[in-house]
Amino acid sequence: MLPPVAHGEAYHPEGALHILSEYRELRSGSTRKANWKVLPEDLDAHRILNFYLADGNEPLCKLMLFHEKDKLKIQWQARGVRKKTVFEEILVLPDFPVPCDILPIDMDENTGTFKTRREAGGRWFVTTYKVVRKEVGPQEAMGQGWIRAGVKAPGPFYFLNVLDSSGNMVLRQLWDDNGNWWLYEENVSGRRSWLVEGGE
Amino acid sequence: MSPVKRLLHRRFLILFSLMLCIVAFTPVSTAWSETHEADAVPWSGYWWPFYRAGLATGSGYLGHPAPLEKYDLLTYGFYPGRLTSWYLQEIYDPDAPTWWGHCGDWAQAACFENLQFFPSSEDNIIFRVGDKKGLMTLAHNNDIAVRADGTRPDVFHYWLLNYVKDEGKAFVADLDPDDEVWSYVIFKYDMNKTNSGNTLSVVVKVSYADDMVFPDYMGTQVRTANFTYTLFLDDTGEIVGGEWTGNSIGEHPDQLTFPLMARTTSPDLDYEEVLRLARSKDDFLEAGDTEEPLIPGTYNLILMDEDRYEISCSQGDTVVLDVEKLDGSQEEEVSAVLTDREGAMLARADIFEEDPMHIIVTAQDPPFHLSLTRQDYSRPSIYRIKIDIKKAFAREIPYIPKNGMWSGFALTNYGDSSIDGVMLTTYNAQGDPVQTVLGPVELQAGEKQLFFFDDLGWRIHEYQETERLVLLSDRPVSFLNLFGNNDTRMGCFVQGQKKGTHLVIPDVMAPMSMDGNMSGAVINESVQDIQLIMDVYTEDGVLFNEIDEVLGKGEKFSIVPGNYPFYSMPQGGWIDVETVEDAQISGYQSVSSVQRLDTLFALPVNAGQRIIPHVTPPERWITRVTLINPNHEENRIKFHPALAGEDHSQDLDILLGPWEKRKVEIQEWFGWNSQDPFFHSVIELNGERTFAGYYTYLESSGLGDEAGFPLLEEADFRSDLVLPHYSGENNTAWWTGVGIFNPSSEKETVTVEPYDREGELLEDLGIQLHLNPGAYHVMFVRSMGGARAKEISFVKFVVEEPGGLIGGFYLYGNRSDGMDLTDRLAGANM
Repeated sequence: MLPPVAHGEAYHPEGALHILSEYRELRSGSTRKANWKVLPEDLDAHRILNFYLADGNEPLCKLMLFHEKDKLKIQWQARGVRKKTVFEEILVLPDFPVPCDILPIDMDENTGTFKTRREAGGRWFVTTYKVVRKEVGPQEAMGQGWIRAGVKAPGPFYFLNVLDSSGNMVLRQLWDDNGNWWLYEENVSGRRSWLVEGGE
Repeated sequence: MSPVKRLLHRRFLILFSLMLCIVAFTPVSTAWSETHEADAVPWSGYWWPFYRAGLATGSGYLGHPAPLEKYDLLTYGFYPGRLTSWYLQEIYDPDAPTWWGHCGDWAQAACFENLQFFPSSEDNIIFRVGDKKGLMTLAHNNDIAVRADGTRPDVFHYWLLNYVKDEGKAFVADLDPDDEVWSYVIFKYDMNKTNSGNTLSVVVKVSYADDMVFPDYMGTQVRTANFTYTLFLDDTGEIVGGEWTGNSIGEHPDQLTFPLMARTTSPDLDYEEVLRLARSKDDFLEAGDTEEPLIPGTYNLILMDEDRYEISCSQGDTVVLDVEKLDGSQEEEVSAVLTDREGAMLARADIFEEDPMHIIVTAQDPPFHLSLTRQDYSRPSIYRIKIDIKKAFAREIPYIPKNGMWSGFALTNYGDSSIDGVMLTTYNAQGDPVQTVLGPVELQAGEKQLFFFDDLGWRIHEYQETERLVLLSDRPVSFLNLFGNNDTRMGCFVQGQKKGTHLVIPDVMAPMSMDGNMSGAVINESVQDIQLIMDVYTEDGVLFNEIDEVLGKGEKFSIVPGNYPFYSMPQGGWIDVETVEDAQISGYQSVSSVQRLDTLFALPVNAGQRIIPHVTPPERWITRVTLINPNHEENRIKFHPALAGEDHSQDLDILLGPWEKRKVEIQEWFGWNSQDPFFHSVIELNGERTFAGYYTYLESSGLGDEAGFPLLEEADFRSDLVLPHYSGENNTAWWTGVGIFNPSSEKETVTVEPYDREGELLEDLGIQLHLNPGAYHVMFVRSMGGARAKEISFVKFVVEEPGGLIGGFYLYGNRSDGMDLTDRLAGANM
């Protein structure tokens, strides 16, 4: 099984992570790239993940992971926005450019249903996702170019697929069973990301 | 109750019951409305279509320089530079669909940057509102941004509530329902909502900033759009989806964008610099309410409130002032008022785009005060001030080398008292002042300033147009310019420049000559347009070309063989230059080859006696005289050693044909050694008619550098002379030579006064020279003080007898290590 979120190692890198993201314009097909660094820090019992552009000095996104009533809480705040939104168990942001999605990789079954709720203007907006865990063979993981050269990933490998209520793929993350960060991620908005360094 | 009444009563009861039923079973509806607006209203800007590349070409805007070209100008000093080239390579697409452009980039910029744009002058480059918005637009063409699917009404509703209502921020929306993308910035909404059961019906009017504006548009052009949709609620009232209704089914937003961080794809555009430019307003001559000093130069400025300037000048100075309105509008005029020290009005003008102000005024009661105002400052005016001051003393450096040569200056106040208001001003080829690059400064008595041209604070983008450098002062100072390569060749420009109505450019070369290059110019020194007649002659006196040109006031007319109008030139020929009007002209030439560089001001044509102040001994050096006969008759020039008196046995006669130029080496004739009776005699030259000429020193090998000097004449003689610069060099490769002669008929005693860097007289190093009539003395400065010579900064030569006159020259030379020739040689008459 994959390690449990916030209980063990997943999304808890020991040091800085480096991620490469590629953004494909769905309309024009053109691509742009961004290099990210993720700097973790611990604040009391909370784990904080700061997402920077590799050459930036101010985080574009900040996550705080903590537990409340045995549930994982994920507080998310983006740069330039006052509001801090707290999600439960899952953070799926297909519109957001920073690869900061958090999935429930410790779910007991291989399939689970989760809801994200976010508030705006006094109204709550709810989205329901189905998460499906699926094993991936090492040959496929390597052959598809999902694992960057130099990243230690002995396997076995799993994909966590996130589907919307219509069954369309929204996001998927490839994990190594022993990893504390995903190896590869892609989402419906045309973003593909690779772990480049760290995360062992 | 009658049957009819009973029937009516029963019907009433049925109807009433039905109405009760309808009311009872109709779901309860609630309706409410809300209006919210972002904290900052986004600015409108132009969308810069790709097929025109207006950002790089100015197409659709104001032409060149375009916004990116201005950025290149500011960054690199020229355009097109790296940014413009990059844009034309990467973004410009003449075949792009006409709707492709920077609307999305503008929208992100307008959403992200809470700015109010004003024009400003940056290093004397006007950045208009359109320039700044254009640059800011490109700075946002690769933003890190949240991008959502606005085709879903629940998502659109969330964005309105989250960004506009909760965050107080605008966001970008593609509001075109079709394939084309037209992005705008939504900053306000008026929303009516009706809740009915598990649905929420919404009618919303959004207000957004438009991009169909001229690039210089200031503020926000607001447009609105209406959308209707229904949101689906779950049992707890939370929104789980939605659908467009009415016209919005076909016409609704597409992609939504909220920028998190500015980024550009251009490697040559610095966001922080663009932000600095965008925030900047007004100009560098603004210091609150105080009057700003206005010194010679051309200023591109912004009028945002009253601008007041003080023009410091001295009594008798001529002030030439031009004020031009450049804001591209025919709107309200700019009013200019010029007053003197007492407030008396000297001039007043209402300045329109096509009607600039031009004033020439002689200072009677300086300083002057200039005030510029307009009635309405809501749209800042852009204007240009061009101010030139003709002072009592001016010295011109007519040529600024731009081919990698160094150019150094020595500015020396050799007088006994300080001089205030000394300035160095650059000029362009049209004779317009570009910038005062030094001063006004006060030069203390005996003060010498040494500097290179590169040390002066000229603006990088005005470097190419900088053609001349003029020293302006109320009293005489010494101004020496030496320039050359690092290891070979050196030229010199120094005071003594001749002006007149008839001059000679003594040397021209054929285009692409194997012997080297020649360039030069004629300058209209007057304040009126003049007609210039230039006759080009061969060395033998054959007329080769006749050129008539009109030269504007202060304008410089370049002479470059191979270029207009000198497409062909006779090797070794010369040019006779005259004006039709009685107006002053000056000129210069620079002749160079691999090993030599020699510069001369254009030579005066007159009939007086000339002097060669020193003839080198023949063993090592050549003294060459170049004579030109600007007459259509023969002209006999007689060389006579002054010490010979009435003895004409040693004279040399040169008969020049009409318009002939001849070079004569005279070291064998007159280069006597110390045992000869005429040793160190100046050579007097007298012609039957007017003539022009110069003398040159060079080593006999002909391989080294050479130095040419105009033949001296009576006007050059003074009671005191100055060697303006002695470097005190302790490197023996460099030497400074000086020659002093007595042109009078009386014996003269000359005191040689060396001064140190503090301007203090080094009395113990001073010497006296006793010069017979017609005699000269030459020496190395180093020989004056031995080891202490390095303390010397400059040297004065003063005739003891009141009314006595002397003449002289100086020469700087260098012999590089291991070389047996003087590879750098330059000098001037004193």
